[in-house]
Amino acid sequence: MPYVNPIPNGVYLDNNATMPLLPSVREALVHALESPFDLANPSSIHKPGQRAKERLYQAKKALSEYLGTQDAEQWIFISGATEGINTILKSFEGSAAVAYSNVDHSAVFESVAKMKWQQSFELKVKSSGQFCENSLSEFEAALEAYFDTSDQEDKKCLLNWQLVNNETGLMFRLEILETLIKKFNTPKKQRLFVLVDAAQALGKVDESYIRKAMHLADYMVFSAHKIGGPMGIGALWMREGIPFSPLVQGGSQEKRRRAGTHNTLGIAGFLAAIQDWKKNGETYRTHMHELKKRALMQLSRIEGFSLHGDQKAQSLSNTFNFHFAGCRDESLLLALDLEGFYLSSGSACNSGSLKPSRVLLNMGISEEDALSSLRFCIGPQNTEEEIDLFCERLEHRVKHIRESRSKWDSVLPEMKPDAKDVTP
Amino acid sequence: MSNEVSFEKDSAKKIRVVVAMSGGVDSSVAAALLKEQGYDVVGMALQVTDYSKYHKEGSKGTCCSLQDMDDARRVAEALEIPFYVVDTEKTFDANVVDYFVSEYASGKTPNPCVQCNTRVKFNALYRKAMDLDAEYIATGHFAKIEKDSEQGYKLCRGKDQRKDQSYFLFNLNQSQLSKTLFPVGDLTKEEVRELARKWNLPVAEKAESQEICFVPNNDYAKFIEERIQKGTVVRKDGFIVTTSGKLLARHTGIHQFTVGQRKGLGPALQAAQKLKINFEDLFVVSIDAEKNLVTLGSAEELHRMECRLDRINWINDPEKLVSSRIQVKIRYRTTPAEADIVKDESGAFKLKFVAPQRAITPGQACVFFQNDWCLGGGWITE
Repeated sequence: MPYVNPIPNGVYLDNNATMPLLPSVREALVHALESPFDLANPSSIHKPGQRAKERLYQAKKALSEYLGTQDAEQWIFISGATEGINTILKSFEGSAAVAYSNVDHSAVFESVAKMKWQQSFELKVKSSGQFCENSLSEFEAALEAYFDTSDQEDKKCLLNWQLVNNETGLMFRLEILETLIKKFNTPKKQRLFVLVDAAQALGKVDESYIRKAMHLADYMVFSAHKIGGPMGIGALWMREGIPFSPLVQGGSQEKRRRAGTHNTLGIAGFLAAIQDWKKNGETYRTHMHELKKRALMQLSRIEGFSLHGDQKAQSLSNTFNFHFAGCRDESLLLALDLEGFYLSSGSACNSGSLKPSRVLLNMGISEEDALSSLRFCIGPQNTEEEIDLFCERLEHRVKHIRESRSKWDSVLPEMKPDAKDVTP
Repeated sequence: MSNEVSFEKDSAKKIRVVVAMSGGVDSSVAAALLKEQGYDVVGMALQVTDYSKYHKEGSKGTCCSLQDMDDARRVAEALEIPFYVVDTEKTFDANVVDYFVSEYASGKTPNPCVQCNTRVKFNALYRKAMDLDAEYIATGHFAKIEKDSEQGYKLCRGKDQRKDQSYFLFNLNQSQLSKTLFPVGDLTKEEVRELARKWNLPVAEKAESQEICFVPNNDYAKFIEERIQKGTVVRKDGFIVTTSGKLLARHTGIHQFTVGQRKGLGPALQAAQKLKINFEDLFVVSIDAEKNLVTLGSAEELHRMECRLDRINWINDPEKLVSSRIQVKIRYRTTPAEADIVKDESGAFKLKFVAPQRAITPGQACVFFQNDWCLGGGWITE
C-alpha cells in the first residue's frame, strides 16, 4: 500500500504527539475491517471469538519477541500509556512512597499530585536535562531514611522512570537506575519498584536499549500511536507477583487485570506496527537521524538558535527542542502553522491556548523562551525536501517576527505598554 | 516513501485579517463576512483568565469562557479558517483585573471593557497581526470607521443605534483605527443574526452575554471581597451619612457602593426612616475614599451640571472642532446629553451640561460625540 500523506499540502513534524499511520498498519486495519470474524469479541466462546482470542495472543507474542520478554501473558492490552501509568500509580497509592522527576509526562506528574502517598520525592533536572546530582543524592538519602524508619513494616517505593523525554528527546542514564535498584533491592527483598514510561522510546530507540530497561523495570507502558499504530491502544508489561490492582474492573478480560471488551481493531493495528518496526526499525531510525542532523545543520546557522538540553547525552533519533532568541511567544508556531508546517510547543491548556512547557521551565528555560520553543520530531515518512523547506521558511519567519517586533515599537508608539502594562 | 509538498499559493495573494472571535454571534458573523469579502481570515480568541477554575467552582461560564472558546472554534471550523487561542492572562490581570478591583476599592465605578480594549485586546491583536503578516485586525463591535481627508480616520457609531459600541472604543488612536475593520458596523443586530442563520453558524441562536467576563456569576462584590481576604486590596469601612451630615449607619467597605445606587442600603434606610427622612428618595450621591464616607441624598442632589475628566483621548484633532457643543455619554447605557467642553484655569477639560445630569459616576468613561462621530473621551474624576 503506498504511503499516503496524512496531511496534504503540509509538512507534519509533530510525530511525538502522534505518528501518522504506517502504510502497513493501514493495510492491516483495512484487512481486519474486511474480515469481520477477526473482530469478534475475544471473550466469546464461539469459533469467531476463539479466532479473535488467538489474534490477541499473536499480538502479545509479537510484542514479547520484539522486546525479548519471556511470557506473552506478562502483557496486558490497555488504551495507552496514560492508562497504564494511572493503573500502576493507583496500585501503590496510599501504601507506598512515590518518586518521579519534574520533567515526567503529565500522566505521571499531575496524577501523582492528586494522590496520597506515604512520601513523595520529586527529582529535579538541570539545564542539560540530566538529573541534578544534589537532587539525586538527596533522594537516595531520603529514601534510605524512609525505608529505615520502621523495618517492621513492609515499606515500598514506586519510582517512575521516563525512558525518553517526549519534549526534548533526552534520555537519563540507565546506570543511575541500575545503581538505585542495586542499592535498595536485594534478591530477597524488593522495596523499590520501577515503572518505566516507554511511550516515546518504542521504535524510535534501538530494541536492545528497551530490553536493557526492561531488565530493570517491574512495569512498562507503551502506546501504539507513537509508532504509527492506531490511537487508543497500548500495552502494559509487568512482572508476576508484584503489586497490582486493576484500574478498570468488571470483567474477566486480561485475567481480570483489565476489564472491558478488547479493542481488537486497535490490536490488529498495533501488531502490524510492531512487525513493521521489528523489520524496518533500523532503517527508519537511520533515516530519521539523517534528517535530524540535516535540520540541525541548517538551523544552527540561524542567528539566535538555541538547543535545549545537552545534546552529547543520549537522545532520541528523531527529536530536538529549540527556540530562537527574541521570538518571545507562540507567534512563530502560529506563523508556521499558517504556512503548513505542523509542530508543537509546550502544552495546550483546556481553552486551547498555549502554556509554556513545564518540562522546559524545569530545565531552567525562561518563560518567554519556553513559550516560543518548538519541538521538532520527525517520522519515517518525512523527506529531505520537507526538512529543507521547513528550515528555509523557519528562517524567514524568525526574521519576520523579529522585524515585526521592532516595527511594532516604532510604527505604533502610542501602543507601547505604559508603566502598569506588562508585555503579553 | 515520497511526499510531495505543494502549497496553496492563492491564499498568499489575499489580504490577511486577524479577527477576534469570542464565540458570540457578532464576532462570528464578522469573521464570516470577511471571509465572504475575500480576505484571508485568521480567527483568534484571547484567553484573559483561567476559566477552568470557575468550572471547578461549579459556576456557569461567562463571556469568553471555555464554552465560548469551543463555540468560536466550531465557527472557525465551519468557515474553514484557522483559529488560535492566545493567552493574555498576565497582561489582563495586571491591566484590567487589578484596575477593576482598585477602582472599586477607592470608591469609583470602573469600566473594565474599555480598559481591556485599550490595554489588552487591541494591542495583543495588533502584535499577532504583524507577526502573522496580516494587514488588519477585525472585531465584532457595532461601530464604523470612516476615512476623512481632513480628520483622518473617524470612529463612528454603528448602524444599530441600540447596539452601538463606539463608547467602548473611545481610547483607540489613528494608527490603531487605520489597521482595524468592524465588519458588522453597517448591520443591525437582527441582520447579524439573520446572516448567522443563513450561513448556518453554530452560534446563530446564542444568547448575548452582558456580564463582566472575569467575574464569576457577575458577583463583583464577592470577587472584590476575595481580593480583600487575599490582602491585595484594603477594606475601607466607614460611615453612611446624609448630605446634611446625619450619621445613618456603618458600612463594611466603600467597594460595595456606586453613585446613583439605592439597592442594598437597608440599615441606612431604616435609620433614615427613624430620623423621619424621606427614605424613598435616598440614593448614594457621593463616595469619599479618603474619609471612607458614603453620602446619601435625594434624587435632586444626585444631579450635576458639570463634571471633570482626566486621561482624555482625542481620536481626531480637537482644535479642528467646529463647535464646543458635543453630545456625551457618561455611561454606556444612557442617551447622549448635550454639553460644552471647556478648559478650566489649569488647562484640564471640563464638561458643562445643558441640562442637569443624574448620577455622574467617578471612574466611568465619558465619551464625546458629534452626531454619529465619536470624537474620543475621558475618565470621570468628579
